[in-house]
Amino acid sequence: MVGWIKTAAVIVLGALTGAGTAVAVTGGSLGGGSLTNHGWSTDTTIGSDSANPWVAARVARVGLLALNRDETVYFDRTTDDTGARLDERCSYIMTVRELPARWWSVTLYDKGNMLAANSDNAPSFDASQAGLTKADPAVPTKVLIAPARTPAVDTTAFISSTAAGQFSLTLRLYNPENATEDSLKQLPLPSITRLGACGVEEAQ
Amino acid sequence: MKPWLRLTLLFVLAVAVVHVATVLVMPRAIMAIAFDRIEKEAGGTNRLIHQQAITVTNQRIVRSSPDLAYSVCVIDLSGGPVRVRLSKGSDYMSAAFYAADTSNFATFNDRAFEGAAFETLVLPLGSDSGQVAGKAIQAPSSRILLLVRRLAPDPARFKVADAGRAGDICETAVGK
Repeated sequence: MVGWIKTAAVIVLGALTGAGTAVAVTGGSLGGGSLTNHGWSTDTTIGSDSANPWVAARVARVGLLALNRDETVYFDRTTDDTGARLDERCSYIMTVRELPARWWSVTLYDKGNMLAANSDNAPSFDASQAGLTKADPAVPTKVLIAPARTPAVDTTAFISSTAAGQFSLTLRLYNPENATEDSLKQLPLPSITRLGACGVEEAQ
Repeated sequence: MKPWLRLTLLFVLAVAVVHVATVLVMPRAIMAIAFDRIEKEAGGTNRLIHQQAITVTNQRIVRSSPDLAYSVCVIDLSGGPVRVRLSKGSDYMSAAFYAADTSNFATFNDRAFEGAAFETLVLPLGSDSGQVAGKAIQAPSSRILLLVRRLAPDPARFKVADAGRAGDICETAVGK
């Protein structure tokens, strides 16, 4: 009797562990793939029926209805250029150069992979805004990513990280000129530079 | 076999089987939930609904883009082919079809549209597409999802995209 109970307990524990590990490895960011480029990552099988089951499960959980790379390439980022986790307590400058795609955008998502719950109306920055913020297309665009705009930073381009907690950024490239792995690894993707020390909680 | 070894092997087997099963089931389960939610919002299948500009308060799907105007249709092919007609706008737009396992099995963007609109017949699996006049695509599952994206990065362009999609169609083709 005791033997059967032990066996059943082991099976149940194994099943729970199996389910838990499945959930753990399929969470996280949309990128999380093997193709990386200066802090950004992607998986070229996103949206494809050739994606392995773990990629398919991850995309279903954190990027449902993503397009395959023939149409759109998705890069994801969770750290700044020093490797520190992106966090709403910090301010960053994202430097964006012209990207070889029909249209592109960078969108901020909270830890739950949703738009951050704030009323700042600044969840993303896209190619059309880049064209408006500078006269010379050859000059990179600087975008402030922070919980609030600040006059200390000389740019009107802004993505709000208010209420985002530890957030991620998704770069979408629609109709990229070249979606081969080699080409994607060489793209001049945006840099993310933290500005000074991260903010502390306000004094009570 | 020693009891501890047997239990260890059982544990490892249980972990492996359930891990793999969970990973394999996850996309279909998540897609089924999405189908049901969208079908409920649309009032049924084979009905195209146009979503308002994505905001913090109305977002339903993870990682939705606030720069796109989305239209969506749960296509149920159990009653026969479904006709899709999407007006071509002045900006980027695409029509993406997803199977029940979430794979994006077909996508068409405005650069590939012929004329002023994209028109196609979506056929159930096993249909003879050679008998169909015009463009047709064959679905890999009896229920699929059509997601239309139109570029709309600001309110003015959303208004244009919204007006452009007013006549779009996703409906049962039998008898029509």
